[in-house]
Amino acid sequence: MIPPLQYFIALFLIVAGIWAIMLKKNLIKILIGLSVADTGVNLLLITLAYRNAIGGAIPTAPIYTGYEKGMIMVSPLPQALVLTAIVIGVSVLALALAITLQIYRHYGTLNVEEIRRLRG
Amino acid sequence: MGRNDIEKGGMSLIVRTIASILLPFILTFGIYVVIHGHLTPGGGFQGGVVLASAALVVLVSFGYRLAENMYKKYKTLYSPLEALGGILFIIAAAIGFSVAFFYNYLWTSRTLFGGTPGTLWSGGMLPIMNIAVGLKVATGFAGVLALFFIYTYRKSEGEKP
Amino acid sequence: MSVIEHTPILTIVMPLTFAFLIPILTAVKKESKIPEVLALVGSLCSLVFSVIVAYAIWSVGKPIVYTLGADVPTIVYRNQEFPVRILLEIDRLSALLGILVAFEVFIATIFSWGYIRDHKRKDKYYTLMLLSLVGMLGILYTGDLFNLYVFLEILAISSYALVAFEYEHPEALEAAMKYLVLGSISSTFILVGIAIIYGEFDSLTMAMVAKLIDEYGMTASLVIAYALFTMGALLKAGVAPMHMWLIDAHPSAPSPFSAVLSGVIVKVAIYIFLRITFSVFGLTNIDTTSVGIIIVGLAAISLTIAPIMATAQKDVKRLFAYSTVTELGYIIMGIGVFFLAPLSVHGILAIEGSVFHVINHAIYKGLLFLVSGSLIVAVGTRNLTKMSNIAKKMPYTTIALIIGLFSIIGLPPLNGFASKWLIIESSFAYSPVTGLFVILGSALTFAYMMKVVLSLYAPGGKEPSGEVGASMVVPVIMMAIICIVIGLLAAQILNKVIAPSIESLISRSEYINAVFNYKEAALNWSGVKLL
Repeated sequence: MIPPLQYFIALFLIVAGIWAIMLKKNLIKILIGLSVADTGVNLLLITLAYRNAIGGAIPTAPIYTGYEKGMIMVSPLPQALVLTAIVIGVSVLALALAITLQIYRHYGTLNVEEIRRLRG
Repeated sequence: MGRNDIEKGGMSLIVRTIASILLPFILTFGIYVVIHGHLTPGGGFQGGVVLASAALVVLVSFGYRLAENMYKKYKTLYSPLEALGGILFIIAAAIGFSVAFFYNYLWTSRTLFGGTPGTLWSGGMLPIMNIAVGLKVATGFAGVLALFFIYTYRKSEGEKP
Repeated sequence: MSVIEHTPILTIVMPLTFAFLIPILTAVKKESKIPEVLALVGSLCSLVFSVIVAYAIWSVGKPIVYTLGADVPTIVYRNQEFPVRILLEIDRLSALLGILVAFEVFIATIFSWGYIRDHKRKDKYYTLMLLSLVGMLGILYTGDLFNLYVFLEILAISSYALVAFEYEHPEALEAAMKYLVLGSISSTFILVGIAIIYGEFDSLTMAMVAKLIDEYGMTASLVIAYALFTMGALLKAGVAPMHMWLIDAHPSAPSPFSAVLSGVIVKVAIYIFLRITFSVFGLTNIDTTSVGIIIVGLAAISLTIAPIMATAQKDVKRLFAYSTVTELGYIIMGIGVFFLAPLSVHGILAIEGSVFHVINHAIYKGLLFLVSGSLIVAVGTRNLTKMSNIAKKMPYTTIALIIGLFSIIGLPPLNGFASKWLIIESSFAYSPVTGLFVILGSALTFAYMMKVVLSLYAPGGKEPSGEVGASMVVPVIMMAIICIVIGLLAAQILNKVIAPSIESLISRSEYINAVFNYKEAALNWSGVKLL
């Protein structure tokens, strides 16, 4: 796809995720928004790996079992970054879901406006 | 297991049979993804998640009683296995200590995992680190999924979680 | 001497190893003192190694670069080569804050010996404490942008888990949820900033990015990246008006970890902001006036809102959390005055005052939170109106509490006086308006700290059952003694410790050249005079 379109999609995902965190009232929906924002950031990082076609050759992802000279590769560094970012996102989500289970046990509701015992 | 009646929270006989047949394939595929991390897409984290999904298949199809019995038998084993994976990773990183910390000693001195690039026995320290991370991720996720499952069933049955 | 050459990475790896050893050894032998001993040994190792690293850097004078892995694959850029690795690049400010972080976690671990003795999840507590130490030291010592994000997340996840540690109380869960959501948003901002910088320059090493920004100038996307970094770092630090999570999260954690949270974790976020501004982007490339106005505005809000809310609190830990926001306002005010008058005499004094205040605040806020832990153990409540007769039954704790309170108010000859005086003087000399806010914050701090003192002596309420155990008194007395010592030696510390750190923070060319001449900047001990 044309690179500017992917940047816009990634930006749209991040904004949609942050919008959901700010405006939704159910705790699970807030966590879904967090996950969508993480996905948007990972998409942004992957999109930056693309290298333009030089001399008509189209870059491929660097998995090669028969490497010929002159093959153009996309940059593998953001793929490692995205791997780490996905792992971090999954860990935070697992911790958040464990805390949500306990909150439901104590408060009986998942509505953010009613989980408000700390104030002042 | 294998009885005709439906266990508490489990699924029917067909699902249980297919799950037990599929289980070795899932485990083999997970170990394959972990070990071939330096050749094909995959590696520690992805293979670990596949291995944990094998645990999830067992949990969902065999029901709550089996999960609880397994959990009671192996409860003390989740945390130490996970920490063992972490210790293996640090030891693998510390072997090349003479030059610097993450030095790929096995590759440049062409012992154990030295070989031509593109074959399985190559990459130096990488397969060892992949195995360590795969162990850690698999046990971590399997433990978390088992705990969520047991907690939810205990709560819906009214027992104290 | 090969162990000593690797001290920068050993400072980070030793607590990590002990953190992974704790579950294994606890499963082998249960119901013993193994978690505490391992945690103490781990944080003590880290403290010793960070002191060694700081000594080396002060002798050599330039930043030290440590490559993880061989330094052989290099890239030649304009006739200078640098290694394509994840680097650790430590200069004086990093080393100084490293000692502070290791010391604070060590003191908190000694205090936890008595505080978390009968808890059934205490091995997980010590593991998470050591992991947060690993995260903080990683942030301070790294020279690579994505490595910064990874260690930031290690720190963040372990502190979310520790805030939710007492999950039988529902308030702790609610506080952890708020902290988690806001912390993840700020980490997402920082990651988007890193992604934009990578997209511009195809490099993640801080020194290389700095050199390329100097050559190619700031584009619009880099301005957005800088704004995202600033927003993420300040949201993680908890300056007003983004302080809501701090007020809920810091009281809900167990008391030794509250000391670590308020003492050093928020300061590491300020360090991220300083490092990105001074070493990656550089003062000449950003519009310091507008950044300074924004930061001074945030500081002014912190210094007015937080102390007013603090005087209305009855919960002692929540009051101390508001006090953390106030002190963060001081630190941010000093940095903001530096931005508005960069490299002038007042500016440099202001930022020296800020860094000195970082150290002092870590010491006396740690002291205050540990004392609140002692009060919880001895009296059983956190409510100030329900305590009485503390001074007679708990003499040592009361002495330390009084010293801590006088430090935070700013009475000479304690340490709070020195740093607050620097900030007040420099901000007043810059403009009377900024000085007015600082003095207002100071006066209100006096008000609510006196409220704490008066509630301790008021009659009617639960009495403490007696002095708490030795493992909870000794760290508190040690911190009080350090308060007095720093206060008496303030001038020496300022000239010999703080001023060189600020000098090495501001000199960006030294930071860049340390990586490009990495063969001299590696930790070769021939240049260091050992004792």
